[in-house]
Amino acid sequence: MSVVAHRSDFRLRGSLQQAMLWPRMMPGLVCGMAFFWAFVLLDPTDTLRGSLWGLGLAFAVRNLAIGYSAFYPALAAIGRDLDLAARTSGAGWWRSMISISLRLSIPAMATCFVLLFVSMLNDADPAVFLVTDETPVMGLTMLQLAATSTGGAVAAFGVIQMLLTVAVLAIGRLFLGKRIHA
Amino acid sequence: MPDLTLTGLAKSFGANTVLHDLDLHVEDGELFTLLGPSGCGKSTTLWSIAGLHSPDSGRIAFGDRVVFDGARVDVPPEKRNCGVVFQSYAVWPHLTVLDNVAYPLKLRKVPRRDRARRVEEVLELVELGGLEDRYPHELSGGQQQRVALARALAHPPDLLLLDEPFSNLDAKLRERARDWLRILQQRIGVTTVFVTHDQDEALSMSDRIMVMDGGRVRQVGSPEEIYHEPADEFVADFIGTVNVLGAHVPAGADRSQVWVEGLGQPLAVSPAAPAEGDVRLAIRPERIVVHPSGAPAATPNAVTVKVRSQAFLGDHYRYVVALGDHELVVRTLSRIDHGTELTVELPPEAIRTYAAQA
Ligand SMILES: Nc1ncnc2c1ncn2[C@@H]1O[C@H](COP(=O)(O)OP(=O)(O)OP(=O)(O)O)[C@@H](O)[C@H]1O
Ligand SMILES: [Mg+2]
Repeated sequence: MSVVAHRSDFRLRGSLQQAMLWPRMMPGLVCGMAFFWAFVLLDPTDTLRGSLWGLGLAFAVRNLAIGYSAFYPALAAIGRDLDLAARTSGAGWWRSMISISLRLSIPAMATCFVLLFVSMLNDADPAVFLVTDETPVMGLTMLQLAATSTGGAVAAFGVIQMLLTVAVLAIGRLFLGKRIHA
Repeated sequence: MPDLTLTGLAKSFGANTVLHDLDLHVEDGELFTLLGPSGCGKSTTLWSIAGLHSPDSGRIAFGDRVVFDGARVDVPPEKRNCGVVFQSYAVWPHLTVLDNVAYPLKLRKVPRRDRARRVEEVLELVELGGLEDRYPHELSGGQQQRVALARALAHPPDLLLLDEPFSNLDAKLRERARDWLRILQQRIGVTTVFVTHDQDEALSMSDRIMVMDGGRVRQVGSPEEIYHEPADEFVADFIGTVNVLGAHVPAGADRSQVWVEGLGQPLAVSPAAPAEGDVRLAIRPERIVVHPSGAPAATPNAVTVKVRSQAFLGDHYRYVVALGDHELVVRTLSRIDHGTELTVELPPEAIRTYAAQA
């Protein structure tokens, strides 16, 4: 989902590199608060704040850094000459990115998504300010339940979380198994 | 096919000036080589032509079409229609040979049938027929290099730009590839700029060579000119092997007579030395004539020298002899039976003299 927003950002380089690392440097709570205020100010109708998309966006930004650090080396390993060869063959910048660089980094991308998913699942703090009744976040719910000491439910959530992780990892394996010729 | 003109091209990376006011002209259909030591700006020049980076100033024109002019014109690489072969080949690993070569045609929306025909044609040209469905990792280095070349030629380019295309091949294959590329280039008549730091490659393939050093042009000329009449000591030394000796022209004396340090007789040179005072004298080892049983009386520049060492190098013999305070390398095709002394002749017209650099 939020992952699409991710991808397009990746090649814009320069200061973006730093900008992507900020959300991770901030404590999660501060980050969540920042998003809370951003949503309140920019979106008076509250539709975004209350929706899953709002949460997704917050998580996406927060985890950009992880995704970036997982993905960047792979991108770097794809020689610049490969892009440039596409440029001189007559492809514009976007075209050469899509048909060469991104196409070659699919395996890395898959790894990256798996990593992001796992880390998001366990990530609670930015959500504190953003959850509503309809869109609880597992990590946070677990924390609440643990605080009110309903041990059984916490354990149940733990199991669900584990199963989800395993499922995603398995899907990831499928992707990775289908390696391209390198 | 257009010709190529660079005028006053300059490029720096930060404080490092890589190209100083470079001018060059490549004739239509010519194979023009940029030759120079590592880091002298060959690739930078080539990339500027291809549009892969922008020079700071100057002008680049393909025939009448100006593709770069200071801040005013900068045509992006995809619109310049250059075929480029990179040092790393940059063959796309996720595409088959066929798809690699078809890519430039697809981008230009060439209809499927014409495309298939053209791909077949260029693959035939580079002698890769039958390997269409292979992936690059299933090809040898030489074959990958030919795929890269086929891709560069697929949509007939205005200019073919080659950046050290043979540097990843072994010595035998490299020699074959040279001859092969030269013949191919002449057959299709494409204007070609070839970058190399290998002098043999440059000498054997080029119509003309430009020798560069530190972002400046040292000499432009045919392989023979560059080899036999190097413009300066750098060029003489860079191309082939050469003996360079310190020598002196006394003030007011005839400049066609130079005195080599430690040698008791002057040497005649033709043409005469460019200046009085200290000069440098260059002579190729194979131009030195050996007279095993003494030289005829009137031979100019005949000198009796002591032999320091000799070596057998397969296709020739190499002798090191003492000439004044200097060592002189002499090359002969056959073995010379000699004592410790030998008479050598340094033909005046084989000697080049240069003003000594400060
Ligand atoms: N992108 C860059 N940023 C900074 N400096 C660069 C860059 N590209 C090249 N240079 C510098 O420019 C100079 C010339 O580089 P260039 O690649 O043109 O050399 P070259 O003649 O092709 O050498 P080689 O034979 O080793 O390929 C070098 O000193 C190099 O360090
Ligand atoms: Mg180079």
